[in-house]
Amino acid sequence: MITFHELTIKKTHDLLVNKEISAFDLTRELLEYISDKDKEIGAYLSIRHDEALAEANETDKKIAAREEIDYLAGIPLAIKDNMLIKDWPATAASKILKNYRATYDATVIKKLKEAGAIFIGKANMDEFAMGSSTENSAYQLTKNPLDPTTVPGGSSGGVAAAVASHQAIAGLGSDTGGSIRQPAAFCGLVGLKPTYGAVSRFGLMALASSLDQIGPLTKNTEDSALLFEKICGEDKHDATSKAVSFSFSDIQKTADLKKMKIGVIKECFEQNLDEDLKNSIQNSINQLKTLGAEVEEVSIPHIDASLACYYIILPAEVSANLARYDGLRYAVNELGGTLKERYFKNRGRNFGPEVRRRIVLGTFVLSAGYYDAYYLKAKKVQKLIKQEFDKAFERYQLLLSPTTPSSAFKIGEKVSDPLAMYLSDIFTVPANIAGLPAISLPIWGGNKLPYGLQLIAPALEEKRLFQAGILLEKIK
Amino acid sequence: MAKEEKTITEKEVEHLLELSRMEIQDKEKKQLADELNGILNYVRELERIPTAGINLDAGDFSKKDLRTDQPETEDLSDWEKLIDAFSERKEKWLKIPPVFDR
Repeated sequence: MITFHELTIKKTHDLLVNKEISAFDLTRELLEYISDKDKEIGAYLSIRHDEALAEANETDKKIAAREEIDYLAGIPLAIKDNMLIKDWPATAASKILKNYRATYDATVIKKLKEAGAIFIGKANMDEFAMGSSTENSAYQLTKNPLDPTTVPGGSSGGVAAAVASHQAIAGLGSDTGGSIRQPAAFCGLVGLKPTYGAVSRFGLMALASSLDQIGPLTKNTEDSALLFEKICGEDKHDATSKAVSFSFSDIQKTADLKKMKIGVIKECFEQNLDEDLKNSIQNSINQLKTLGAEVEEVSIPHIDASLACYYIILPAEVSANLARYDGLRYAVNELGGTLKERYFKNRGRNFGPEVRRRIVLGTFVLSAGYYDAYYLKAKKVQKLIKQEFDKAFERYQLLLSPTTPSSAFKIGEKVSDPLAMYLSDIFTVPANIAGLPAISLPIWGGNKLPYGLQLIAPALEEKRLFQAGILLEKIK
Repeated sequence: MAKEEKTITEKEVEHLLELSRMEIQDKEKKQLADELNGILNYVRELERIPTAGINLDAGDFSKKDLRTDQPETEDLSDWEKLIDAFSERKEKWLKIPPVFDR
């Protein structure tokens, strides 16, 4: 029996290469473990049983033939259900896509397939990635493996719960306003939101196209960097993707963080924060200082306005992006009537309340007479916030804040209050608004549940996030 | 931003639902209006932020962002699957219900 909780990408790779285990046996045992464990957690919407075993076989063949294998070869991954794997369902946890099967591979999937990774299953999420607790899934509730009375966070809560309960070695989520980092913080994982454009969005169902990014959820920083290395880069299918070249060896192999100036974002600490959270952040700051970093307070004067900007820009894009789900294109059910009647019935009945709320809100902020007052104003404030980040990065190499204002909240606690739910993303949204890379690293205080330490870097400086993460992990 | 506090009425919610092509139950409309007003009330904090000096057209675009004007061939072998994903098909066509009332 394998002890899955000890397995990282690197460790699994070593076991495979040294022939201490085959990818097939690893996958078979993991599938057995999932069939029992996931009844309790509810992380997966679909399990690729036979497909995963077939993918594992391919890696074993290469190992037997003494071929060099990629780090990701034979590694079982959980994939958020808004990313396409050819010929496999992709529901985005929405009823409107219950019959849909992907007709092509997302670019990230294509790249990982080439590397030999195993896609063990598609993970639960908030419907179309709208939510912060995975409670907006049309299919099932996912529990936080660290405390089953609490949520795993969202919207990539299924991936986070799968990795935290050792039902996958690592996984891919998507982050539009915190949907990778917030669940990482709630489940004690490392979550990376890459620079906007660093990873192709082709084959990721669009929520807000100008903010969405795919990124890894992993047990440690090294795994995060290994996955990012594999999925980043330009893609002709995504015009916003950038010619990024990141290699694991780009991370500086220093033993300390001398010459690193880190700015602690002052405004984030003016919020109502738990004492225990404040103390654990202070511990991390002390550790960074021990490592030689210079840590000072910095002001991003309008960072507080990020969330308000987000709840104008995001619904505006949602109302356009979700127009394609008309109940015909991705056949839902046969309802009689004219074309228009079918639109109304299919969309009204198959979208959940949060999705409907954001579509209507987006329709409002884009409507004649309100466009300038809401959408245009939000775009201007967004630019102002970007400029403030640019200015801060003239002096600092990294910025620091908590990932969330609290640890995982109780199931049901915020589900009937949309605004309270939105506020749980208050510290993660600014990095999306400014298009910057940000990582959440797990930290603990005196309480049972972990928090997240968020580090933000200038565009395309993911390697700084990894460097700091790796060194902080060594202290612990 | 609008000087007077804009409040969305139930009647406006109905109009927005019409524009977004969604049918919901009457009893849900009041709640939706209340929730939208709560959110709009929150996002209105942007009003206090001066943005007169911000030019949205400047700086975010460079010529290298443009694609070269070259035709590319794509693998289109999966078109059958795309049509199958549609609710109804007739031979190689997508079949849709009547657009106008009969």
